[in-house]
Amino acid sequence: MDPGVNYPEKAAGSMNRILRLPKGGLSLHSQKDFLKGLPIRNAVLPPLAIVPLVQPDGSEVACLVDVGESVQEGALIGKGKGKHSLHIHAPIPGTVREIRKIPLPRGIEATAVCIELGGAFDRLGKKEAVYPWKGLSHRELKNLLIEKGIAEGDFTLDGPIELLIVNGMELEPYLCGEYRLLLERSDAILEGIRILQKLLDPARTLVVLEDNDLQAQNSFKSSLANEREQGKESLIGKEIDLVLVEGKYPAGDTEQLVKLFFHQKVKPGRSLGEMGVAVVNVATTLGVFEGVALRKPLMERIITVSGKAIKRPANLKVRIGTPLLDIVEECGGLVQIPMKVVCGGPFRGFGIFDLRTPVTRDMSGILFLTKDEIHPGVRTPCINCGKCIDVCPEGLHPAKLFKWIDHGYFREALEDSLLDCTECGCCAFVCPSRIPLVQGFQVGKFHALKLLNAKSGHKDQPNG
Amino acid sequence: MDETLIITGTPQIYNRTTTARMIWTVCFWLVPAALWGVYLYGIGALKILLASIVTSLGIEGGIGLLKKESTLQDGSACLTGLLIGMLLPPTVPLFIPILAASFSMLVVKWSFGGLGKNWMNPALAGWAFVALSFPDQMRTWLFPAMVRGVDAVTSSTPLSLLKNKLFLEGVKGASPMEILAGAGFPRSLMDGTWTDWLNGKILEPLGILLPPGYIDLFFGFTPGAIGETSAFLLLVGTIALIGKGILPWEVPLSVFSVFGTLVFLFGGLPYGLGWGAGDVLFQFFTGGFLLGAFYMATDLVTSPLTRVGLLLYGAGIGGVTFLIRMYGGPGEGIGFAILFMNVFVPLLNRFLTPGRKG
Repeated sequence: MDPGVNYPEKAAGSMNRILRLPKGGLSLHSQKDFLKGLPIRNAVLPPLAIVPLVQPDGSEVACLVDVGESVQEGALIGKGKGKHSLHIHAPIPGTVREIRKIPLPRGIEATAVCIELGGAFDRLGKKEAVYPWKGLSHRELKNLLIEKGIAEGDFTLDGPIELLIVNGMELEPYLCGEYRLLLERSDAILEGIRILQKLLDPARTLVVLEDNDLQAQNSFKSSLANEREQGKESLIGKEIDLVLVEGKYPAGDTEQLVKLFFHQKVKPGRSLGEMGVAVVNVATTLGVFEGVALRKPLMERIITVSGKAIKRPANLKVRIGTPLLDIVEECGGLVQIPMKVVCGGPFRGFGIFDLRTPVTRDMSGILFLTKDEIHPGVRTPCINCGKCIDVCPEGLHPAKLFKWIDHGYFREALEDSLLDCTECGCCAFVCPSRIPLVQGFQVGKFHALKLLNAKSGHKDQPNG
Repeated sequence: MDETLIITGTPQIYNRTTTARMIWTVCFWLVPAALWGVYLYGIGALKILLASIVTSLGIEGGIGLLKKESTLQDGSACLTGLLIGMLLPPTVPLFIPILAASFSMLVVKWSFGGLGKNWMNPALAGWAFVALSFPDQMRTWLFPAMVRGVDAVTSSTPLSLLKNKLFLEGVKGASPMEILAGAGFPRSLMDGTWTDWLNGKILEPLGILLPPGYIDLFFGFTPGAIGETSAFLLLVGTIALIGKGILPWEVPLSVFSVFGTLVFLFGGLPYGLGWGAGDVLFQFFTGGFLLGAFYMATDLVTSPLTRVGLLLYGAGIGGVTFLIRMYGGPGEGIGFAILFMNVFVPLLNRFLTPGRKG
C-alpha cells in the first residue's frame, strides 16, 4: 500500500467529514463536560520537588548535581547518555537536599533529586522574551529541543517525513488537558506546529481534533485565520489540515491514528520514525514552542485532577516533581478515601500506593477513584457474551486469545494476531466476568516474543 | 490511608455490568410472568416453581461445597430453576421439576464445568428431558381459573388442539381462531370487552378488525406452561432487558422475522387457506414462542459471539420452529429448535469470529 495516496481530503472539505474507528472502541463521557469547563490553573509551587532522573523509555540519566548544591529554576540537573536522550532540568529554584531512589508509578525504581524550594525565580513572574526561530538551522532546532528536554521518546527529530500528526484528541476518559490547551494556547500550539514543520519537513501535516470538541476546533481555526491575516503562514510554506475523529476511546492512540491516516499498522520493533510518520500531542507541541521560542526547558505539566474522592477536580499546571500530596491539598483535600489513586488515565494509567510519588513528565492526570467509579468485581467464568469482540479496536478475539495464553498455547495466540493488541483495555473494561485480559496479553506477549526470538520452528508443548 | 489503596493491572476502571448483575436482572424481569402464572393456575404452580428453584440452588450449593467455592451468588442456578419451572405445565407432580432441575444442573451444566462451559441451554435441556420421559404428565394443562370459573383439566393447549383438528380430524378452510372457537375453546369475558373496545376505538378507523381470542392469548388466559402464556409480561421484561443491553436484540429480531415470514407465507397451507394467509400473531402468542425467543435463545453462553452469528442462529431457530410446528409432532417446536441450534453455535463461532479458522 502506498502511504502517500490515501490521505483525507484537504482542510476545507475534511472539516465536514468525521473519521471513525473502523472497529470497536468505547464511547465514554464520564465527568468530561464538567472537567472541560475548568480553565487551567497554576498550582502552588511545591516546597520540595522530587525529580526522577529517568527517560521516557525508563532508562536512567546521569545526575549532574550534588547534595547541598543550590540550583536555579530551569538549571540542568540530569543529562542522558545516548544520542537522543533528554536533558532534565530543575523545576524550581532551591537547594538539593537529597538524592535517593524512589518508586515510580510504572513500577520501576529511579534515582530522584529532591530540591527544597528557595532563592529567586528566573522565569516566574517575568515577561518572557520571544526568540526568533525561523532563521535557525535544522541542527540548531534539534539541539534546542534535546537541550530543553522536550522531545518525546518515540518522535523522530530527523526529517523529511511523510506525515506529521498533531494529536489533539484526548487519550482517555477523564483527561482534558489537551482540550484546555487547545482552547487557551492555540496560538502557541500553532507556532509549535510550524516549528515542527520546519524541523521535520513533513509532506503533510494533520491536526486531529475530536468531533464534539467544537470550542477547541473554533479556537484552533481562529488561530489559523489570525496567522493568515498576519501573513506569517507563508514563512514555512506548508499547509495544515484539520481532521475530525469521532471521540471514542482509544481513537486518540498513536496506533489508531497511524492506522486511520497512514494506513499502516505500527509493528512492534519498528519505530514511527522509520515508517516516516510522527505523532505529537498538543502538550508536546506547546513544549516545542516554549523550548524553541521562549528557550524554556520542560518544567511543567498540565494534569487533570479528578475522581469522586477529590473535593475540587481541576485542570492544573504543575511543576514536575510536585508530590501528589501537595496536589491533593491544592484541590481541597479528599472527600472520601479513594479505592485507587491512578497516575495517568483510567485505562492505561498506573495505580500508586504512596502519595509522596511526584508528578512525572509523562503524567497526564491523577485520578482519585472511588468504588462506584471503578466497579470492581471478582473474576467469574467467561460466559461467551462476545462483548470483548465488539469493542476490540484491532478486530481481535480477546476471550479466545486469553484462553490460548491461559493454557500455554502461545504459538496459537500469535497466529491469532496477539501482537496486534495495543493493550488499550477496552475488552477488560467491558468484560462482565472481570477476566484480567490485559494482564493475560502482557504475559502472553512476553512468552510469545521469547518464542519468536528462539525461532525454534517446531510446535511447542503447552506448559501451563 | 496508604494501606487502603489498591494496586491492580490496567485498566483501572470497569463497566458497571457484571455477570452476576446481568443474570439477577434477567431473573428479576422474569418474576412477574412467573407470578402471573401462579395467579392464573393456582398454588400448584407456585409449588412447581419452588421445587425446581430449590433443587437447582441445592445442587449448585452442594457442588460449591465440594469445590470449596460458592457460585450461588452469580444467580445462574436461580435463573435455571426459575426457567425450568416456567416451562412446565401447572399440573405436573413435584418429582418432575425436581428431576428436570437435577438433570439440567448435574448433567448439562456441571458435567461440563459449570457456568459458561455448557453447550446447551440447561433449562431447556432439563425441560426436554422430562418432556420426552413423561409425555403424559407433560401434556396435561389447566384452564386459568377466570376463564371457566372452576379449575378444569384439559389435555390441550391451543396449538395441540389445532394439531389434532388438522391432522386427525382433517378440518380445512378455517383460520386457527375459527377452529378453536368451533371446538368450543373457552374465552374469558375480558377478551370480548377488550376486543370490542380495541376494534371500536382504534382499529376500525384504520380498516383492520381484530377477531376475538387474541386478547386472551396476549394476557395468558389460556392453557399453557406456567410462565409462557403471558405475552404481555414477557414483552415488558424483554424490552427492559434489551434496553439495558443485557439481552442481545439480534436473536429475537431474526427469530421473529424468519419465523413470521415463513408463517405468513406458508402457514395457511395446512389449513387449506392458501399462500400468504398464515396467522402470524396467533403463532407468536402460543406455544411458549415468546419465552423461548426472548429468554432461552438469548442465553449468552449457548449463543454465538458475533452479530452475524447471532442473526444466523436466530434465523435457524425461526426456521426450525416453523418446520416443527407445521410438520412435526410436538406443537410448540421452539424448545427443540433452540436445542438444535445450540449444537451449531461452536461451528458458527469458528467461522464468524476473528482469528484463524482451522
